[in-house]
Amino acid sequence: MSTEAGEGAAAPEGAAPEVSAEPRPSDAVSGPAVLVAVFTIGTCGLIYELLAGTLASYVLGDSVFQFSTIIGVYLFAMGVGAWLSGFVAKDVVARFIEIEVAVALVGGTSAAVLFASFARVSFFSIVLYGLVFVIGTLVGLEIPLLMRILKDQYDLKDLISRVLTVDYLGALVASLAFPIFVVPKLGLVRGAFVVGALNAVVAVWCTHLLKGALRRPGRVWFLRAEAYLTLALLIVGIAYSDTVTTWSEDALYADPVVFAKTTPYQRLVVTQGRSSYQLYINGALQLASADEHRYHEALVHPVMAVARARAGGTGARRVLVLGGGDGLAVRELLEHPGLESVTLVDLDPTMTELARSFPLFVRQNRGSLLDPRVTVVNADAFVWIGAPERATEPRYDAVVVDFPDPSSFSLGKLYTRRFYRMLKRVVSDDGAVVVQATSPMYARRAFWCVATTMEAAGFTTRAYHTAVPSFGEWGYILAAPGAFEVPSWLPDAPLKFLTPETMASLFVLSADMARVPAEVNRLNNQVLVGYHEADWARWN
Amino acid sequence: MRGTRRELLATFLGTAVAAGCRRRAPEASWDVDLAPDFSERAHRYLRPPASAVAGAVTEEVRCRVLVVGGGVTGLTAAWTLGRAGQGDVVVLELGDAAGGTASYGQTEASAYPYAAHYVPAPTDENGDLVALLEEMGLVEGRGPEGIEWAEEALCATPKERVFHNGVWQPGLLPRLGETAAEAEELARFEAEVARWIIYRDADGRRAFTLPLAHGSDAPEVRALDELSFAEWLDRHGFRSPRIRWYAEYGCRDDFGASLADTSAYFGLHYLCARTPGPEDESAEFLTWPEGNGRVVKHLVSRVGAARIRAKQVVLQVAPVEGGAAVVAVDGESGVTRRYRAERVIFALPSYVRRHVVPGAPAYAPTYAPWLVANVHLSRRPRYYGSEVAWDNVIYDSRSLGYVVATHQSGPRVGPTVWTWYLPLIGEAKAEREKLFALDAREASDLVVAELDRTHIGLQAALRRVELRRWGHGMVRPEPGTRFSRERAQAALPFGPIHFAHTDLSGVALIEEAVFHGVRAAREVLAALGSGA
Ligand SMILES: Cc1cc2nc3c(=O)[nH]c(=O)nc-3n(C[C@H](O)[C@H](O)[C@H](O)COP(=O)(O)OP(=O)(O)OC[C@H]3O[C@@H](n4cnc5c(N)ncnc54)[C@H](O)[C@@H]3O)c2cc1C
Repeated sequence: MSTEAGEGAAAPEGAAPEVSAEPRPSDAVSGPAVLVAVFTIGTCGLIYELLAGTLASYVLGDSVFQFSTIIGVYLFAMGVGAWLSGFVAKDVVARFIEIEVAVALVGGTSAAVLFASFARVSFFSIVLYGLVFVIGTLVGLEIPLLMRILKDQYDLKDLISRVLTVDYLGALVASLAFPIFVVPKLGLVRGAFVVGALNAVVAVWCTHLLKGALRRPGRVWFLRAEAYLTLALLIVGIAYSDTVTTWSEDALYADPVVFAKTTPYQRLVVTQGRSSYQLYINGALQLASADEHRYHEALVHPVMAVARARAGGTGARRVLVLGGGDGLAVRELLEHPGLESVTLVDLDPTMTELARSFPLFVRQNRGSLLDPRVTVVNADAFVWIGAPERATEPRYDAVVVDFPDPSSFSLGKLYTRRFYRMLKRVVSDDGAVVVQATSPMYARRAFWCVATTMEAAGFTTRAYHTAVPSFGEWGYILAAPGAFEVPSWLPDAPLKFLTPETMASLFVLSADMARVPAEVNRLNNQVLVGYHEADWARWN
Repeated sequence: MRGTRRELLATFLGTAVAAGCRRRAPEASWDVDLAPDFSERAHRYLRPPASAVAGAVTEEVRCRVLVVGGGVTGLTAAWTLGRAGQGDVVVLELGDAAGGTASYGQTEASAYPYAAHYVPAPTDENGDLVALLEEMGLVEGRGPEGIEWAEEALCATPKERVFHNGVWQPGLLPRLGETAAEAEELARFEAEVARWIIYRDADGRRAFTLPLAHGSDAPEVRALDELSFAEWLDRHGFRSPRIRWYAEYGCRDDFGASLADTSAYFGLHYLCARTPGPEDESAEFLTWPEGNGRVVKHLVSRVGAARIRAKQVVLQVAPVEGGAAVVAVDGESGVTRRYRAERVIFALPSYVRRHVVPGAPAYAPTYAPWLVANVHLSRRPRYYGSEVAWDNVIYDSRSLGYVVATHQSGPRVGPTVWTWYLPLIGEAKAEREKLFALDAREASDLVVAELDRTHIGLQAALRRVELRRWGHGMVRPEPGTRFSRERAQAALPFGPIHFAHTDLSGVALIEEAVFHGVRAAREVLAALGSGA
């Protein structure tokens, strides 16, 4: 895999002036033994790259973009390494051993470092790409240096072909070992430590193998100490990998975890702090009890007011909630006196069960899902809304769409024109719809893409926003099959956040949230997932 | 098949899969169905001299046009006749239902294909196919960029991912671990392909079109058909394993053939024909849970199920005074019938001609055998890497990977069906023997080992493996196929018998199936019109 780095390296080497003061390394070197080292390097180098790619997709979710970026960065870094090797003029052997030690250290601890730093989301991307870059550079340095060490051992043509073949073989072994052994048997964190340790062993071995080729053989103990120290550190890492893994997962959450479950659909984690508790889905914050009222009042009451206005003053009777399995949107709906029935469609039975029986949740949603007017359906909203039965059922006066952000393609489907077209068929002609649409500030293009897509499905839309401290600036798209005014009516209920005046103010968007052009999100392009990822990446 | 499981895997899927397979989990269990091959039904009757069976005729049936073979080609022919007002048509089909290589199955979880699973969205240049798809309600309108297809039928994003180096990676060509030299070679390869996309001959024709018949026959295009795709790649210095893999993947996927057995013309056809310009994306795919079974369903409903007789083994088709006579035996009751028609459309694969239409010019190209498995899962296994896509390709295996039946409109969790494809690209006869020597358990082992290696917890989710063997699945476009005179002649009518099958184009594609179905029906309409 470092074919190019190797070939690229031949040029600066040829140009580099011969330092005659140096011992001729190759006299004292066993060629075949060094090739074994090359082999290990090839194997380990590719495994580090694979680890970084896999880990990124593991912690960041199904990310298309991360993947290609990692590959690009790694390739670029290898080129940089090869280029840098031209500047290593003195004591090539010592530098080589040190680089070997450095690769072992950085590569071996990479997975643990990435896991641990993920909790501090604000600079995770920097850590991820930084690490990939450093490893790539070091690996890129290795082969050219080795070539120089071996150059008098074989003639150039032979040398290149041998080193490259062995390096290629190493990569081949890596591509077999990684899926068969490293990932399933060791796991990512331990796997990295083990591979790093292997690297360190090679480094130790090299201190023996190449001793005679050192410019100052007396200093070998220094190199050896470095290598042994790294090896020891990595062995400790191997022993404590599990602790590292748990510790880094815990560090993801600021408060103690009181509930955690991996359902077939998602990973649900509830944490509880002194005055508030939080729900995380797949590691992303879904709600914080301290300020969720802002989010949910803003989600529910405007759409109910629009439905009421469009129906000539009759409040919505039949309401549909898609997503929102925590029951908090339903709690707000139940404040509306004319309401006859709520159908809540949420994918995950564990979530809706939590909302019905987990005391923290029941207290927060005031037992909303236990209300006799509420029917809970556990189904995939995309399938449920397209089912033929929907065509024969009465339509809904209001629909609240509260899905997680479109951070993967399977969620992105729920924001497509196709989905909104199906949605339009279940809303009555004088009804209204609201869609949680991520942040108009952090993900401005994504937010407006939702509006654009709903319009393409035949809805008239109005965008609005509210500030939810736990999340930041948040946005919604209010929509109806026909024209409607900015709502001002509120139910006669003790609301914590909304007043008629604040409601009007939600519809005023500052300049930094103003509309931007976006493509229609269709099933076959899923542009929204890309917008969402790119927009948020700028804030992380 | 004898030998260990590992040997079996190595023989069929390659050493990487054999090395990576895990043991069968002792507590896991699933059902295995190896569907009977319909050709067995045919062989039973075709083996005794046809004349002996013909002597046993107990019933005579008359119709104006008889269509032999109820694959997409035969059904399209019947559909075309019906649209032109010719309703006195009977279709005879060997299988349990019409569909042929576009048949499908159905469970509570989803419908799923037994073979063909997508239709590349055609342009208005391919008017007949567009008309068929438009009748299916798939055209929403026409905009500046051509036809606007129904969103739900266009293959949803993510369209493909590839398993390589132990991780699922987005896209078809794995990039993780790629070297700069490979990246450069890829760019050169793409430039070479682009050159053929923009190619126009002196008459303004493109080199590669769909249907094929509209393409150029200029000398430089003809020259491509004289060498294999492997030779073409060699000549252009494309040696990187990844590019060779990519090129061969296309040949295996569309033709069931290796680089060495594919005409360079068709290797490039796969890469160029569906891309209007060098800057454009390749045409999108139309797909449904049941794959091209959706097209079959539509055609059957239009032709009328009553006109289609399944489980009929056609034994003999011969010109007679005033038309043609067809002898067929009912595979279930054993009743032999003679059909008298003014015209016959022969929509069976060409290799059976020899047995069924004595005296007609022979045409016997090579066909690739395929093993297709429908893997029924109670839930989705996990995996490392990129999100599950419609087409999930496995880089270091001889299989093509799998397609997810619930991808378009199904739920994102819970039960699903994966359709796994294995083209056997070696010498066809030997491969066919190897395929039919497999027992159900061995065949299912192949699928399970491979999917288990690429996912986490597959065995626990597995409920049923349903296997289909296609002995003559796809015609192979070997060098010389495109401009073969024999092939051109095979498409000409033999008295009142008109030939139509995708293999008359040298490739197995729905575009060609529809093309030949419509063409043969038009020939018949013209003959009936002038004869009446
Ligand atoms: C595994 C596989 C995957 C494929 N995937 C695709 C794809 O995704 N997209 C695509 O465009 N194409 C695909 N194809 C190609 C596909 O074959 C064509 O698109 C098309 O369906 C061919 O239709 P046909 O009617 O010409 O041939 P067939 O489907 O071969 O139809 C011939 C019919 O004749 C019947 N028959 C045979 N002998 C007799 C007899 N003696 N008596 C009566 N009936 C008989 C057969 O049962 C069959 O129904 C695939 C093929 C295979 C094998």
